[in-house]
Amino acid sequence: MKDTPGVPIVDAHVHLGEGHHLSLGVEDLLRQMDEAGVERAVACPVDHFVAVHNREGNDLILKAIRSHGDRLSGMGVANPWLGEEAVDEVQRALGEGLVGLFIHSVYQGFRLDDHIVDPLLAAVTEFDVPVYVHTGTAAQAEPFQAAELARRFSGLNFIMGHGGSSDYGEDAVRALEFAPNLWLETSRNGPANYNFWRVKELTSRVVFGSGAPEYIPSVEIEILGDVFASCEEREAIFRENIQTLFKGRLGS
Amino acid sequence: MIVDTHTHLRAPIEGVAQDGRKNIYGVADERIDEYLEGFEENGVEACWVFPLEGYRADTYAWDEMESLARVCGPYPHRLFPFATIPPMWPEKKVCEMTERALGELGFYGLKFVNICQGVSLANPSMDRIAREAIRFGVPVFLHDGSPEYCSAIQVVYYARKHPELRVVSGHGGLREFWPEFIDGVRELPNLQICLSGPTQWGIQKLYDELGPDRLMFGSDGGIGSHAITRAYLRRLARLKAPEEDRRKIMGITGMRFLLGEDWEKVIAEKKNAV
Repeated sequence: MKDTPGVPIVDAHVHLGEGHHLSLGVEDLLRQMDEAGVERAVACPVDHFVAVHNREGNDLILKAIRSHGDRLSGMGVANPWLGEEAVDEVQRALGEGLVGLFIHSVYQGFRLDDHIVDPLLAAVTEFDVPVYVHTGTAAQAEPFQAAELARRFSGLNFIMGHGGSSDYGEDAVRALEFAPNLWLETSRNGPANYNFWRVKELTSRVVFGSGAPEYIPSVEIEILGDVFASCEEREAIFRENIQTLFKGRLGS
Repeated sequence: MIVDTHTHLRAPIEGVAQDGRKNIYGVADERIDEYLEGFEENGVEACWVFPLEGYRADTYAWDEMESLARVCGPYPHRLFPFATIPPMWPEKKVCEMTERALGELGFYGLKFVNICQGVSLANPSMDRIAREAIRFGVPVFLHDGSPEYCSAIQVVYYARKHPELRVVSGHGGLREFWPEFIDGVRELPNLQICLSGPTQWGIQKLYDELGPDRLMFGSDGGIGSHAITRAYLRRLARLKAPEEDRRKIMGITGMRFLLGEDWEKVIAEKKNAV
């Protein structure tokens, strides 16, 4: 592994599978992790698995973590429009070893804070694992909508995927005021928003995610390091915070 | 030559406090020397320079334009300023400001952030802007990726509506909407893309589909952190492309677009005139 400055890095957000929009295989992901000095990554399946082929997507992630349990953890998917079937699938996937739920309301066709997702979140509550929600898409996946979910299910930890991304920087920061169980994930951002989070003293609420293959982990780690330069900040963003919100389920 | 085709500079405006002023990211604004130093540090030799204040506060738009001209004046070979004009101003005032910016001060184009300026790209006021830009032969540079006034597809249709106008997407659709530019750029020869916005995957796909002559490096830097520019330099360094194409994207395409085929000669003349 590359000698990154002293901190074993956990990547909170990578994708696996052959998709319509994105594609990444396990071996390529592991190579990118090695290049970046990433010890462990939390994987979810790509696009069509999130939208329609949920069971296949979950099986793909389960297969990956069974082969590389020392490097990979996984999140499950289920489209809430499938009702009871989705609840059953989430319970199966979490029961078999996935450690969180990945929600992408744009791919899955609902407004993020629509109550249609409540049965899935209730099912996740029984497993006490975190929920990653994609944000940054106007009207369908905004930071305050993520906060709504976090407030409705205050016993669950939520990761605001992409930290609102780009123009939602201010909303993302404000949303955190209202939901102590909500964390910002870094992918699809850059130094402008990182500076903003730092100025707002939110380092303890930020987790590193590369979004691979959307981004190259080693590049994004360097970019983060330009802003969060101290050992304490790096320790928090690359490791401590995610261990806290996963409640120790990612290994040591 | 590395050219950043998307930078902002807060030029001093009378009546607006400068010292200690912080931008929306909570970072203090840069003075011109800090701005130049930042780009030098990153190896950027020239910048397209846009204002900051006039998008949100039209009260300052005119004064900011004048100030930007003064600030950029000593660096004609390095800084290429654009003006913004509040689209909803009365026609007479828009024409006066256009004359001043493009006719007298020699600005290189017009820049708009429609999400801040309160009108859709489909608003007739933007058609008036297009006519003025065509009259002076300059491009219109647009913030994009933000529904509902300036999404990627709205930029495509603005370029389609005004085929004689050179239109630049300032953010290439940001993180999600860059795919809309693949069809748009293929169809519309008057549409150009600045790469300050798409994901690394998106930048690669845009290059794979469109090649190096319609894509330009830009960072949206100049607003208080040199790391903003460095971030896109790092991402572009990982673009899978031959060196010749990379050089085009990093500078040549942008300067050719702005100054024409003789861009090197134009820059040399400007440098000699300093």
